[in-house]
Amino acid sequence: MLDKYIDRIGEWNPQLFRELKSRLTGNATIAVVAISIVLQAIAIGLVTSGNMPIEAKIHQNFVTLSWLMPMGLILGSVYTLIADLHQEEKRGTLNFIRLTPQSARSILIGKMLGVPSLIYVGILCALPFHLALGIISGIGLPLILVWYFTVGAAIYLCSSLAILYSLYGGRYPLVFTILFALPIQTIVSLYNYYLNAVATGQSWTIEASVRWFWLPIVNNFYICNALIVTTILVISYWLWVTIDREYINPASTAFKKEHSYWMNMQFQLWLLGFALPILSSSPIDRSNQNFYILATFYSVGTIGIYCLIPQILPSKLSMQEWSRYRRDRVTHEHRQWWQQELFRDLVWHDASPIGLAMLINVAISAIVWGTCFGIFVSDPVWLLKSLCGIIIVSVLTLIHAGIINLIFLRSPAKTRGVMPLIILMSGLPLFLGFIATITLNHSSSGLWLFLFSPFAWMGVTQLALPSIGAVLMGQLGILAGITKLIQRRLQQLGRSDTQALSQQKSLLARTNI
Amino acid sequence: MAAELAIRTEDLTKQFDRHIAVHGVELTVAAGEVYGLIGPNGAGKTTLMRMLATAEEPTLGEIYINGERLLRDRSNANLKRLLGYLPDDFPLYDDLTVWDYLDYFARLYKLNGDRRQRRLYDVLELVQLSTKRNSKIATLSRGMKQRLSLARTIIHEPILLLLDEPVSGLDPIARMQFRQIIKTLQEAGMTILISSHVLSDLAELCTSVGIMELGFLVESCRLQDLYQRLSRQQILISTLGDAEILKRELKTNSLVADIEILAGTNQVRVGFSGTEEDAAELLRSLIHAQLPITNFQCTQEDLETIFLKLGHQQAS
Repeated sequence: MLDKYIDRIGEWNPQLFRELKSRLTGNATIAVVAISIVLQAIAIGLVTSGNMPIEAKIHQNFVTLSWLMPMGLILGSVYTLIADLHQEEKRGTLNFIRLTPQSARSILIGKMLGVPSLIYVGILCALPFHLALGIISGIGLPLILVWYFTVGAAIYLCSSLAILYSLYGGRYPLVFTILFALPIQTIVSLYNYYLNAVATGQSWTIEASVRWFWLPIVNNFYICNALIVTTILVISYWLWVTIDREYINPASTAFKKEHSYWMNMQFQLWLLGFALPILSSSPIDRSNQNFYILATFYSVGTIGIYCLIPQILPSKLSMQEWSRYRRDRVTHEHRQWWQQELFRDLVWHDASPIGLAMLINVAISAIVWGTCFGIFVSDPVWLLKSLCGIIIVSVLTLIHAGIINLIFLRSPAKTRGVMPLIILMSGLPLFLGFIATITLNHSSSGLWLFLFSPFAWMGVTQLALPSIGAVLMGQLGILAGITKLIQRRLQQLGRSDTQALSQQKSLLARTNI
Repeated sequence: MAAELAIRTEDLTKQFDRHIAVHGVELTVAAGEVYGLIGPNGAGKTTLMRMLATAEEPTLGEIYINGERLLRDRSNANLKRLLGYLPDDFPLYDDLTVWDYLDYFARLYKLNGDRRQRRLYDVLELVQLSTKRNSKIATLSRGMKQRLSLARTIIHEPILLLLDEPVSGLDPIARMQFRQIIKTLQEAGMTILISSHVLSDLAELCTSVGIMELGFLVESCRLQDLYQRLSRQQILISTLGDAEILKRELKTNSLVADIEILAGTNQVRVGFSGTEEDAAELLRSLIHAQLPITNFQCTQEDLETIFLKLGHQQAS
């Protein structure tokens, strides 16, 4: 009977068929169902015994199950998926599947649904019990159903992350799962606490006035969940874009350059949703408060841009090949055409350097937040400081991106390992700035250091405009120098590559039969 | 004309950091051919095969399968149906039965319902594993596993087979069985690109060969042409008389290239560049010269000798 259903699933998704067939064997399924039922029986036993009022016990059981179920599902899925995909990669079997006409999505969704199937069965058996406990303890069916929906979306997101981690060559499923458990348990606990507070009408300790584009997301459980689920789905969408690319061609960048523009735009607008409702529209005390709010959000947005660097940075080999390809073109094509072609390449081509793409990304952020500064900061001096701040942070981001690009033009290392370098480059001045500010009283050296971190705003607010201008000029000089170095390095690489090829060809021509 | 080519590559290049594994390869394989790829280890055969199989992205150049261009991002679902690739290592799912394994791959290649069932039976019959259909893969011998891998490779009826060292590690009987299967597939009209270190197998199977060296395709032609161009005929002649007299007589023939008296015998090995008719004429002339010939045996240099000769030239 079960085989017949599994066979039917196989027509839709062969990978799911393969996973279910090897996992959902009669004995294993019976064992999991039995364990689930026994655990539920124990829980019922606990409800009916003891001195505590029965309503409190039911509620306690509901709370415990509401914590256990998502934790079990998420961590179980993450662990089994990483372990399974690691095993497939180790055996080399995944390569065969890659050669079939099945899409990455079909194979990996099959894995996602099939590999943790026994865990799903166990939890599914406990669902009626959980639902009953919830209704009896007065939580309300709509709230519970929304809870299920959100937890489902969270499992989808976490499983997608686990798949991506595995495709990136991630190992040690147990270590990863344990590390993953720490933030997940905090989020699940917080979320359950929120559900409980909403259901029982208790006061919610987090600022209840938090709004997103004026939508009351904390006061309204349904709107809050709608935002959570939408955010999860958008993040999952981008995760799957990179999963698709990684599955088909592990040597490619995580995202296309055009993807980075869309992602960045979405992220900045998402942030803007939180910023706008808390900006003061009153003309009194308008400038300072709004300036600080916007500066903070702009800094968070900048961190998002920094995160894009490793996602679009091509490998040295790709850039080398691109350079060789461009060099060939430039010698054979009309100059004007080359210039146009180069511009298009720098904006869209996966293998081109990231300078112009990063410029577009910082421009997107600058337009979004610059408009807000223009609208909500009325004092001309503070407005000028806003402008300086935006330019300094933008140029600094480009400098950091340029340095990283330059490093990876010299090193064949994998570009995914660049994140620690980014954190070091942007975080060190911030850290030293803090140390200097704390240890050296009234010293401006800390403020100067802040100007070299994504939180340059802390320096901008305190330093005089001429000082800021001097820093800006210096930054522009550095950026010009880095751009020149990248250009020269690319030319060198392309030339040496072309020479190596022609040398090898002529060597063979001399010894040819 | 282009449609008759099963494979065409243009300036196909693969670079791994500083090492160029495949270098500007221009390969053409006509439909229905069995094309043998020869070359020493590290010549780039496997990389070339992997690029053709969409398992590796070329650094540069284009690949056309059946006249259709293979996309650089390797997302060609339609072209993947035309290709069957058997790498030199062939990982399998040991926990599955032979039937389940093939059924799984048949589904991955979107073969549905009855057609899938029929195909599974046919393929198992072809690779002589019908009796093992319910056996776990872990219990199969290496030869059987190799044949099962081949079955997986052809389950979706590809028009182009890419076989990388398919007989390596097999015993003589398993190799013979495998050869037989490949001949059957060739007769069925499949185009086969095969690389092997067992050159006698290639000589028996192939219609064309390509020789790879240092990442370059240094030779690509029909096997017959290669023999004609590079394989010398050798004649082994035995005499009851003096070998030196025989040598003097042989020197008068313009088609005789070099003569070697085999030490301690009355035998002479002759390099000969003529046809079979010329060899018959040589024999006639020796008899006419009243030399006591007891044995006159014509042989041709085999593929292995040609390859070694070419390899030696390259190395020098």
